[in-house]
Amino acid sequence: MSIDFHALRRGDRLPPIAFTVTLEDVRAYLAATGEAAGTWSAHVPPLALGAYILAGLMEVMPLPPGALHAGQEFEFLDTVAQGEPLEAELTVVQQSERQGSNIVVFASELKAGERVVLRGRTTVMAPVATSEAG
Amino acid sequence: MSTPPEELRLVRLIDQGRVDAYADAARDHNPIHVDEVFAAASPFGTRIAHGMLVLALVSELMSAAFGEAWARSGALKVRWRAPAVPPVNVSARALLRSSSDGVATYDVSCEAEDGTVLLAGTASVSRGTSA
Repeated sequence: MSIDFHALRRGDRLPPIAFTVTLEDVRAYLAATGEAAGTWSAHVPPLALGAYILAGLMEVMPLPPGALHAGQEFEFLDTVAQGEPLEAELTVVQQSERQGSNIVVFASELKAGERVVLRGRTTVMAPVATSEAG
Repeated sequence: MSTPPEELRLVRLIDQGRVDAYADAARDHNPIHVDEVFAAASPFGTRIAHGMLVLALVSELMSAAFGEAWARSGALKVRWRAPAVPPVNVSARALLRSSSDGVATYDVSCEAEDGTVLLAGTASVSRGTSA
């Protein structure tokens, strides 16, 4: 069951997002972004972790029409080995409406086992859904 | 501990091929990035690059300068200001704002070749764990 972006409210917790990032994933990510592989022979580029969290978010919560990824914060707290099992938890920490837009801020925490390896805050804006006049 | 670099820069072409490759790699096939017909009907009127693809240039600057320390102790805070419409040469830049207590903080930005600011914010890294 997918989550309705416009129904989200502060305090809502999303289902955990579990994933791993393989060597092949890292190679594809680096090839796409253009970054040299040098630093990331054994570990996952930290921004790739953020990208996979966002991909997982969009799997459970399709973005509504006109949605924009407006802002992003990340704290990278530790390296992640390729193939390491990961789990992200996301919580709605802010929801507001301003100038016709619904603004939702998600806080995320990514763990590798018991280690917290990343924290983030993601701001998504979308035009407020309006009902059509009859 | 060495002095952190004053300025970091790179320029990269973001074309539709790169956007499509990123969509596959990052598992983000939002049609605004990859579907020409869908995007034509959007407020942008065309396909736009993933914001995270543009931000990846900033992360690359920091990892090139600080290695794995970036993954262990980096922080980013950005807002996207304008969409990147491929093909576009994106210039990513980090200017040292401060360096104290082992933490280097940079003002970061990405600009299109016409000077449009695509994103802006800050990046910091603890150099105490630098390789």
